[in-house]
Amino acid sequence: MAATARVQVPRLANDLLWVARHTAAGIRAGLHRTAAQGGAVEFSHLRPYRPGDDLKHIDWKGSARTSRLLTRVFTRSATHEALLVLDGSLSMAWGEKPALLRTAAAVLATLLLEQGDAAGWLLVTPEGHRRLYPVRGGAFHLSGLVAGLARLELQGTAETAQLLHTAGQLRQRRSTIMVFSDFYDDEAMRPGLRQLAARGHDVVAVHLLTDGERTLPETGAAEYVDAETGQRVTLEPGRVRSAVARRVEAWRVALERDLRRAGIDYVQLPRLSTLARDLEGFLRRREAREAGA
Amino acid sequence: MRVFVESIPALWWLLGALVPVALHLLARARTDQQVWPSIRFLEASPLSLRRWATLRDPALLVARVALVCMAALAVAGPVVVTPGRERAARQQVARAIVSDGGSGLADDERRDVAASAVFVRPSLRDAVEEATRWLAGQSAFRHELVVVSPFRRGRVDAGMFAGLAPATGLRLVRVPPDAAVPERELVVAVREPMPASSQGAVDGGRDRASMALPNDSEYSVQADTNDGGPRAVEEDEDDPDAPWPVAVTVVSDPTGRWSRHVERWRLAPDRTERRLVGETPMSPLALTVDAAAAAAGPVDPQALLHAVAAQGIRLPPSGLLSETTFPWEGRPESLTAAVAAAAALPVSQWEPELMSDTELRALEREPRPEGTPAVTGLSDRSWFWAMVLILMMAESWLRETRA
Repeated sequence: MAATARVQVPRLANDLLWVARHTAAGIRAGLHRTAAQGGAVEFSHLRPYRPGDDLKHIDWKGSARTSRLLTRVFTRSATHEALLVLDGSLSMAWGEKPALLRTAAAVLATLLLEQGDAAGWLLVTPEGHRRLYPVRGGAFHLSGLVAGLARLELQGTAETAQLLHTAGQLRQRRSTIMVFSDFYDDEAMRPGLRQLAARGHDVVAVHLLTDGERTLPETGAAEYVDAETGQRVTLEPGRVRSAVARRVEAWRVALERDLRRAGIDYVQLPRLSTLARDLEGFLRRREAREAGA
Repeated sequence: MRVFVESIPALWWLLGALVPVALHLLARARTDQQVWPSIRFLEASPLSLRRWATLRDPALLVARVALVCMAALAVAGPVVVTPGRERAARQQVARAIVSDGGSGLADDERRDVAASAVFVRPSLRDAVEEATRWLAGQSAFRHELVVVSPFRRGRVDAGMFAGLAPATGLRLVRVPPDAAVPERELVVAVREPMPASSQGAVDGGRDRASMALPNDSEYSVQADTNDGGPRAVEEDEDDPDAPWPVAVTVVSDPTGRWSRHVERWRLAPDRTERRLVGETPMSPLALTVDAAAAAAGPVDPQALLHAVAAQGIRLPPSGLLSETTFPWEGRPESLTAAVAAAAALPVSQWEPELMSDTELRALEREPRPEGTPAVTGLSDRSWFWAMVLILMMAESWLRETRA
């Protein structure tokens, strides 16, 4: 069995890596910017020379045209770090959510690493054990990170509040913290998210709320079992479908509003098929917002 | 120990147990189980879902099936036959007693039986038929017909018992014959139809005839042709000095069968009172008077009977001194001859022949058990209805607690 697992995991990891790279390439082709603003060698603007500026950054041609020394300014350093916090609860193992989680995390990690940033991921097992893929940069690191995502087993998680607390402990420096979750435990998560944002982290809530769970299926009466609590409720979907959809949407809107008020960015990923488009739209909005600021 | 029911067709109601089973299967088919990420936004719809939930519950299914089965059994009238009950039932006998005399003996036969009835009818055949119908309605383990009679020849035959169920026993108990008919009593059987030449007049569907006897007595003879029963004859004696015990009985039989019963009446000398002397199961003496012979004067009874036989009139198997008839032509002379001939016979010859014991034993048979011992009066229906009530309460409790 162990040999079989060793054979299967790289194959899945390779598939996921290919998908992530392919998706990230499409996003880059249309955007040329990443979730992290700018790149390590990316020019931002010119400013007057200040004593102490590195001479190699002086724009000589511009200085000759304007008769004063100008220094090239690059937006940020290449060592921006991002931690992908994964909600491994059983509700995340429903439907296409595991694939959506792995793929979205892999795509964003690819975007980050291929533009020179550092990325890693964190998951806390039900027993409270941390599964951490450390935050590092480099192309070699990407394949290992994606392989770890492909090997990920969603068997439940510790309290989401503890998950966020652990993430806060791990990232003392200001970082981008992307929380991949369905946020069904949002009441417990909100304080942790606010605390991360208050500590200066760039917190992004990646809401994995698929279409399948927003609308009840077209079936007869059925007994619905909560994936996490095991609670049961019997209902006829035809009678409550529209009400449930309204209720879920209202909750999602309220969640987004509250998170944004707390300075937390928010993106909802409803399905795997539109993942690239959804991420691209999110990054464009994010870039526009940062450019406006 | 076993259980049987009083009404087998009622067991069709057991098929009603398929209804909750079908609903259960239907509900199971319709209600899948779905794992859902979170049910925080789902809530059950009120009534219909509870109903569906209860339909799927196995404990409720068991309770409902048991409820329907118990109700069906209660309707069918279940009887739990314990060994004690079975022993008691096997000893039960339903006994019909047809009494043709010997009423004391009939009373003895009624003892120690589950059900009994005594049938005393003018016609022994009618009594047997009625007793047969009564026995068919009894639910005892064994059925028995007891005929108490002197068994005069011709009174009983195997055809009388053809309607008895094969398992029904038959016992023939002989009692001494009734006392001899008084010497002066005369019984005459008249064979129908009444001839048109008689002095009869149609009155409301009844043929009425009257005649005069030569010994200064006039007898009014009334024959009813509308029903098959024997008809008494009212004496109309003008002469107060006529011998008092003389009576005339005329038996009509519009069906053409031989009369089986005769009533004997006597008229008091002062003609103020008419008294039924008794019922003779079979006329001890009946004469057939040939019209031509009667016209010639008093005749020998033997000659009369031979004359009757020559005319094609059936004679009973007992032969000479048994019931027969005479075709009365409506002429008083015929009756005169009959009366004279009857009066001339000694009483001993009036007595018909009795059937032998061997003949009686050939007709008898032992009662056989019929199916299962009928545990009558022990239906456990009320217990089953009580169980139905308990199951209803259990089902209600389960529905409330498990919905």
